[in-house]
Amino acid sequence: MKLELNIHENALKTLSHMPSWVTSERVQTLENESFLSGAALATLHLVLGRQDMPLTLLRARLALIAAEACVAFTGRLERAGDLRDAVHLLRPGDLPGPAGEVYLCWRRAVERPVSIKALHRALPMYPQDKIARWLDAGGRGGVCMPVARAAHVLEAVLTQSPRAETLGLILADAVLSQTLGWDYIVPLLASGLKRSDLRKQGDDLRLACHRAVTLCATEAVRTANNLAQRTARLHAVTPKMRAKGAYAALELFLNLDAVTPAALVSLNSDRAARRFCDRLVELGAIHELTGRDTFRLYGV
Amino acid sequence: MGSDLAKDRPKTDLDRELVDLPPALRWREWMRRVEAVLFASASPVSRKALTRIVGQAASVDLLVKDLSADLTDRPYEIAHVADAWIMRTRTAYAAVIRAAANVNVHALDLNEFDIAVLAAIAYHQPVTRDGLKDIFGKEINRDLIGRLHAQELIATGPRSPRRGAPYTFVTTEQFLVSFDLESLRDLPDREQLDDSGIVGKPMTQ
Repeated sequence: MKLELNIHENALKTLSHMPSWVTSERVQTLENESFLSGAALATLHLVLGRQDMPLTLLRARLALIAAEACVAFTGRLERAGDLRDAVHLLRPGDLPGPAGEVYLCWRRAVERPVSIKALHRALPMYPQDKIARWLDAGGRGGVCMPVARAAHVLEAVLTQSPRAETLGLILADAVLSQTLGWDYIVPLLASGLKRSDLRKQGDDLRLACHRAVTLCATEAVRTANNLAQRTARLHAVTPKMRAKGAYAALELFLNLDAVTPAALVSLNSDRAARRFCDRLVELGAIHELTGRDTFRLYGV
Repeated sequence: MGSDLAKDRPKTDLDRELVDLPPALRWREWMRRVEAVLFASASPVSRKALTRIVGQAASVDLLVKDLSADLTDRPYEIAHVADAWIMRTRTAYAAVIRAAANVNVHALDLNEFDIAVLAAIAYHQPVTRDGLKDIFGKEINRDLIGRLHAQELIATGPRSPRRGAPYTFVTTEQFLVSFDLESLRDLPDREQLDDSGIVGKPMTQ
């Protein structure tokens, strides 16, 4: 146990952190904000490239946060916990409801490498050619101006349909990630924007997007470090989990935002799965996420 | 997503591109096709279904827009619902139609309290029967829920994380069509309800 903690502390020191001046007080000019968002994105870029980074899990978490923001934009009261419940308690043939649907869009959006086809899969209510046209609104060009391009896409979508926040933000994030050379969407806009920002246009919207990216990237770096630390813990306790099928079960925790014991089919029984989860909680490797006694959800 | 007219049908040799026709006539013919399909269908027709009957490069949106412009002085119109379209009579003619025609087949069979429960589901979805009980202060009977279900205005949503994992209820696309809403956000908000005096009145049955 002691040895593990030491490894932990060493790992902590090498973690990349966002420089504090990125989030310092400043005059909100387009120049200032775009400089800072660039700095924030560069730091995040390094963090995402780290060997020990559970990227799938990180994207899943950020997707949940983005979905929570989008649901709030539609004037609904559901929070992250409700969204998790909605998709985990959804049975085949049932409808996810308005909030659950937003979350499903985000979940699917971050699951596959960015492509028109993958985006259409995430947003099946919009045809592929329309999605392609909106993405083109970001303009073509090299690596420069990723945030400005994202803002263009967002503006194009919201001008055409002012209530399609989820669509606009997923596509804007897609363009942002693509411009930065990332294969997958890393949600970096939704939770940094305010409802009033979505009514802005041109330079005002661009400024708001820069600010949102700086905020979200800072938060993403924090979440990433946190998750890397916890998955390191999960790896460390792996040898202690000797149940048959334990490896496959641990694999799920390393990739999914939340897991129901019933999903741990490799352990062969519900009882074994519940015991497995309890043991991991005891070892400090995962948390119970709902605070309930029944219908529990576990995650890193 | 609306009705998929062409689903499960054998592939026909439909001439979609109409290369023989001059461009103007081709566009006209596509518009007529869209009109015919919308006229024949009692439920919304999805964009996907419409793209199957017109040329690959033709924009369904533009066709529908042109068609709508043609219909400006007709008593019917084309409505856009959740990325699908439906042809329907204009609301101004509702009274006339009710007075003369036998339209019961399509009319919703709902009493005042059914509507109240439906509205509660729309605003509070996903909501369980217990949740509805809390709102109305009494049991909502299964027949009522069944009636709403049978008319496809509601469907089952995610289970509620409570003992017995009860179903929740959510509204459907058919609900949006029936009440002429493009999305749930077209439901009147609290302020509008206050202004119209709907809220605050005791619930009657």
